[in-house]
Amino acid sequence: MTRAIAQTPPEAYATVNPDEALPSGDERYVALDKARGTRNVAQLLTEIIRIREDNIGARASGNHARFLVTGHSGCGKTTELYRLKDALGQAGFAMVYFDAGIEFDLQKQNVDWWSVLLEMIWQVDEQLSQPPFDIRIPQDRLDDAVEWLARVVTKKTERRDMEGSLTTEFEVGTTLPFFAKAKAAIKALVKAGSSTVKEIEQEAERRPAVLHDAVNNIITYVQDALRDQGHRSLVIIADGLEKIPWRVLADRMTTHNAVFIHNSRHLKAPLCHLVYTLPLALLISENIGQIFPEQPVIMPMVRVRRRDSEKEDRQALAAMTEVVTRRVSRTVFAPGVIKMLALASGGHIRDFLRLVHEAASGFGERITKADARRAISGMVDLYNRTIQQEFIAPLDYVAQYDELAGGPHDGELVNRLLVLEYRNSETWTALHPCVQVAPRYERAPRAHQEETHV
Amino acid sequence: MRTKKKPTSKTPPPVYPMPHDATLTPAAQEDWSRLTHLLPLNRGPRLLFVLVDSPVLRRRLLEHLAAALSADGQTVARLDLTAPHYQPLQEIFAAAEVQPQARFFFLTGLERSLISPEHRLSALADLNLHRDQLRDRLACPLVVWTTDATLTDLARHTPDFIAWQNGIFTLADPAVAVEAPYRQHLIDRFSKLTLYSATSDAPLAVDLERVFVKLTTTQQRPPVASSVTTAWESLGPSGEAVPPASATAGKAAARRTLRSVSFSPEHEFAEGSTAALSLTEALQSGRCLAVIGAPGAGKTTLLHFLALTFARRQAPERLDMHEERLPLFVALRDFNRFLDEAARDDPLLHRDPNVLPRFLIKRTQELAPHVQLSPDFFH
Repeated sequence: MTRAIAQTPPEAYATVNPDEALPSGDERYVALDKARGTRNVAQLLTEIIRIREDNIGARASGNHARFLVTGHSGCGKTTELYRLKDALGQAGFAMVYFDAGIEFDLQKQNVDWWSVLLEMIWQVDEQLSQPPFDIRIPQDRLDDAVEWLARVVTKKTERRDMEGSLTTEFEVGTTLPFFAKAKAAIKALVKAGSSTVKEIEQEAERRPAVLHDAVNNIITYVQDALRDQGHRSLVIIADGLEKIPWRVLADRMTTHNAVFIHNSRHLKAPLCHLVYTLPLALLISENIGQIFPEQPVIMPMVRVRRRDSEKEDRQALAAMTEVVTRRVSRTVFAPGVIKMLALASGGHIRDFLRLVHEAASGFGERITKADARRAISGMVDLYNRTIQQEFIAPLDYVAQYDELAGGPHDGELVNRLLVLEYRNSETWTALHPCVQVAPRYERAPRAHQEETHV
Repeated sequence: MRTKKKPTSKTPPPVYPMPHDATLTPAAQEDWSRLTHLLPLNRGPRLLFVLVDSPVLRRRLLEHLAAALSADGQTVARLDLTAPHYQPLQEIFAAAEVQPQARFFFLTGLERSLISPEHRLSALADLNLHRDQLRDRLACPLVVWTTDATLTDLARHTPDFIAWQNGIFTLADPAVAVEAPYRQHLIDRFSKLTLYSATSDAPLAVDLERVFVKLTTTQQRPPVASSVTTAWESLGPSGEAVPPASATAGKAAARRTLRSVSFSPEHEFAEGSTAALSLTEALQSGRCLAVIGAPGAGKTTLLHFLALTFARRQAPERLDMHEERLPLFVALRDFNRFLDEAARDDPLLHRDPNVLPRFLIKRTQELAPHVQLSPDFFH
């Protein structure tokens, strides 16, 4: 579909949507990898997976690719993962993609490795049964995969009794197969916040091999079926895992550590190529490169300024300009406006598009520098609100040393986008430009006196 | 703190004029105009914020705009979260589903879910973690009418939700606009309760409003003289006992610092008594209160809670007190230090009627240099 390019500020305001992940092949897409100082994520992962597959032993245990992809919220991860899915699909791989933010109730559910593996079973069955693959996994294989789950849920030991209990307790259709009943039951239990979910978790922790075998029995069948059809092997992309809420668990571990560090061996268990998204804050704080076989793939910001000087990066600014002009005609902007907005965004694409959107809300025939200043002022105000006194010292550290201090507030600074990651031949961290000029940061007292209570 | 928006020139008159009885700052008038022009350009699931600190003005402007839009054939669905909710987004989606024809969805009352200690964490998690559902379950723009402090709260604790905002419009009346930065400063200053532990180096900071438990206070009622001739004594400036001239004066004197009471044997006195009071009753019992308690009893924490409550204009909900006050928090040790320092430069300081406002301005500037108040703000 060819989209019309906005020709007036009101058209730009109405059509520029900062929150939209672009579908693969969208004409608005601009490859920003050179401007980010990295290889293109979709291209890089496609290349590695193809090499792995083409070399002997790709289907053998332990030789599949396992990637972690990360980057700031709004940097374009999902857009690249859509492109990866498309590229690998065109290369003959069978793609299964799901978004944890949609499939899980991240608020109610404590998402852990076993819920991710279980979700893989549902998604592989559902997506590969569709054209062009039309793979029907034998019912007995599916039922075997969930029998352990049904045993915990129903407290029954015989399959027939389990099935009856699932039908009556969860009011699922009697004609549905056992597998579908178990799936419906677990989803209902999660939605209700039932304590049975904890029992399932405990069972999975007690006998992880059962769930590993369940997943791999299905994946192995699928891999064979794909080979028989002349396809390449299976790739599973689990997006949205970076949205798992950060919480401290009972044993002082965090939810992020539990999934990606402590239980990484389970995430690596499925016998296919895997791509997981990872919270950026975890990457910064943990040596995750030693836990997963491949180095994590980071999508840094567009490098609008060079590290060692305040000089603007012309190539990066040109790339950002193209991001806009594929949506809005250049004639809508007064000279210098796009550059102003790009620099103020720090190279964060969603912030950049948000600035464009806000600047387009003026009433002139063109978007002027005054409109840009108003938009930037609004973004500075929003970032200003998020700055708290306890962040001042770690922010000062980043400003001075181009890296995070390694303190307890690093995660917050990253999650609130107060600091941004960049890459050239090295990785560095810098304050978001709107933070640099935020009143709370500029004028904060650097020696803080605490009041004591009486 | 709200940074000043730089007004642009050439903002056209609003599509819908303001209510004639509404008074807005010039910047707010411009935002009203922008809001009326831009709202119709928003289609599909969008998220916009309209910030109005005064509840009365907020209701007035919302109703006026909703009526104007409806008269133009643009249906406005409304939802007022009158009680706190654990999952306010789910309430919004449920309401939106029964009004699929709505062109805009106006939401009020979101702040109630965020200030309720019981509902706060769940409400914030719901907003931040389920924001993707806005795309699928909302067919029209959601316009959240709330306070400036609520936006700050959301910006800090629901960054993913706020990242979806498509516009923020601030409609402030002049009086409220002047106070807003100071109120936010108080919220920032007192919202965290820092706890120190003998077993840990790092102190723990918790949300004071989440953990605060309203204690019952007791009021000590002093013994009352049964004779007309009062036997009360009070202390004069030099510490001498000064018998009051009359029973009426005696009552007035009893309100001053009472160090000792001596009784003549011919007078009869009722026993002193204590009465349990709720916090609200205590606050309403008099204009001047002395809160007395052992060290660590929670006196300062109580004052911080009250400062937060009035700074957030939450007295009706938290204290069942329907009044608005601007808290002025004075730590006497800081005031004493200020007086000592100022008296070196001005020996006649004690005659200055503005000594307290001067202290408050200086202290605010020390604690929060980014908060810019006019020099006569506390006068």
